[in-house]
Order: sequence, then C-alpha cells, then structure tokens
Amino acid sequence: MSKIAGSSFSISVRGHISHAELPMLRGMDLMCKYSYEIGSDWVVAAGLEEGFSQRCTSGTEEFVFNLPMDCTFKSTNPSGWPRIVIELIGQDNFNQDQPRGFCWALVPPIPGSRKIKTAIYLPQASSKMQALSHWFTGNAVNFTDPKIIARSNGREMTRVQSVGYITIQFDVTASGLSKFGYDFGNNT
Amino acid sequence: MAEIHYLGEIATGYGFPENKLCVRYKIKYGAAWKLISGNKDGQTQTDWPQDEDEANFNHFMDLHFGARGIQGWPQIMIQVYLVDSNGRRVLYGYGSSILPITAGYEEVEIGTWRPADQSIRGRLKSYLLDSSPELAEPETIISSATQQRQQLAAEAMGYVKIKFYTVLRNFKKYGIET
Repeated sequence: MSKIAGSSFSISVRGHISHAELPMLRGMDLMCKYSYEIGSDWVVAAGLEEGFSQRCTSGTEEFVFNLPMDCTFKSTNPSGWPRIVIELIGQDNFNQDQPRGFCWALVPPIPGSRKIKTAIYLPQASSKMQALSHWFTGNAVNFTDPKIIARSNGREMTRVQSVGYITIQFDVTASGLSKFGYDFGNNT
Repeated sequence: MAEIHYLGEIATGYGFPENKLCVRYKIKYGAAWKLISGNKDGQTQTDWPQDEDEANFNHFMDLHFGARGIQGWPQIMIQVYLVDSNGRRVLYGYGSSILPITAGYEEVEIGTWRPADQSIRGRLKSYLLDSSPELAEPETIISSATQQRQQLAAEAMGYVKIKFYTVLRNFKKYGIET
C-alpha cells in the first residue's frame, strides 16, 4: 500500500462468475477458483483477492457457480489493469482434484455493468512422453502457476485445447479517473 | 504528451480451413509515437479446439503509447499459423489493422489472406500439404497499400478477432479529436 505515493485512482470490482458450459463434463462435478493478476503499479486496497466456489454437480453441460467478486484496487497507471484468472477443478474417479479448465478475463476498464463470455481451455502435454506419463498416472496436465496465462510473455510455448465457455458478470465502479485526465469512453 | 493505453486480448481465430492455430503479432508505429510499456511483438498460445471451429488465444495485450502527433498511428500486423499434429507450422494468413482511435470498447475483426500459387503444382501442394508461398518481407506489404500488392495472387483465409479497450489521456488538451 505504501508504494502508491500521492493520489491514485481506484477501481471496485463487483459482480459474479455466473456459470460454465463444458460439454465433455456432463454429469460430473466442478468447482471454480479465481484470483487476480495485476501489474506492478497496482495494489489491492480492499476486498477478497481470491474466491472458491461450492462444488457444483450438473446433469447437463451447464454448471452454475454464482460466485461473487468483491475487490478494490488502487493504481496510478492503467497499464497492468486487473485480470481475473479462473481455474475450474473437478474430481476424477479416484476423488483426486484435477484441473478442468483455465481462462482469464480483463476486468472491463469502462465503469458500468458488462456480461462477458469467454472460452475455457486445458493445457496439453508438450511431448508424447509427457502425454504418456499423464495418461498412466491419470493426472491431467496442469499449469504450474495459472496466473501466467494472463501475462503477455511466454505464451508461445503453450498448447491448449478449448473445452467450453464461462460467463462472468462484471459491475465496475471507479473513482478518481477524471482527475488524472483519462477518457475511458462510454459503456455501450 | 498525449497518451493512449490499449488493454485487451487477441481473442479468437475462425473461418480457417483447419482450426489448430496460433498467431504472431507485431505493432508498427510512426516516429511521433513512443511505446512506453508493453510488448511490441509476441506469439499467442496454440489452440486445438475440441468441438468448435473457433480457436481461442486469450492473449493479453497491454500497450501504453505516448504520442506527439497523429501521423503513424499504431497498427497491428498479424501472421496466423496452422500447427498440425506433426509439429509443423504452416503460414495460414497475413493481416493488419490500425489500433482503435476512439476511447471505449471495440472488437477488431481482421480478415487474413495468404499468397496463392495458382499453377497446377502450387494447387496440388496446397491441397496435399496445406502450405502456400510465403512473403520474404511481409511487413511492408501487410500493412500498407503498396504497388507490390498489385503483383500478388492471394487466397482469402479466416478471421482473427481482437478485443480492445482504449483509454485516452490528454487528447482534448492537445486538441486531437477522435
């Protein structure tokens, strides 16, 4: 908090992660976990930096989380704007937690309400040996740190497979933006 | 100095013959512009979608420009690649677009094309291997309407969608209207 010297603007992120649609996981259970990735000029001022949902079982391909978000950030620079990083976790036949999907979404920089639908994907093994070893142990391929998907560097080495969609409702309020001379446009 | 922030993502690619894609991009801008922070070029992840035609890149773009003039407004140039199961990367399209000029949210849809060899040998190669001739120096041709384009035969490929939020600063102060 002390590194933000002088005045800063603040962004308050409310809303919820609504539901996910994953055709291949019909009938299984799924849990959602989220966290935020922010740039070096940003700090979390208040609220929850991470969230965990209930475990949701669905007979159809739609899994409802209705997981609220509530976090306030402070910064002096729009670069590094907060992104929500989402991890979907499910249980396999041996009750072990397995990753079921990842994605990130940019918190809309325009104050207002916005519903976003974005694709979910799973990393794939980078070599046939690794694929064989994962098949043998029954563990799905995982990211070492899910937040790397929300950064611009080092993504070229990743191979993924899209597996479904997730819908997120963002309600963003901001204060202090006009003092800095920023024009964010209208929420249309 | 007027400033612009572009926050967004290279989102999806669709409409290509195959859907196992990745995108390489490069940002080009004039002498009056300075890239204060952000990556000038990069490459997205490769997606092999399970069911859909759309490949998802979900690649974060965070560009911060300082501008002393309107000339040379930043452009993004993209090259789409097919990544097949043998690990081959085949050029699947070139495209470019100017970055948004109005503050707010905009979805930029870039239609891509690639050179086409219309001879029998060229068409057979394209049918069997999905490949096409590549430009030796793509940048000048992709991003401007040069005379050299007249000499090219090209085939239309798919689309790449990029979602941008544009934040302007001090534009009114310097009298720039967008």
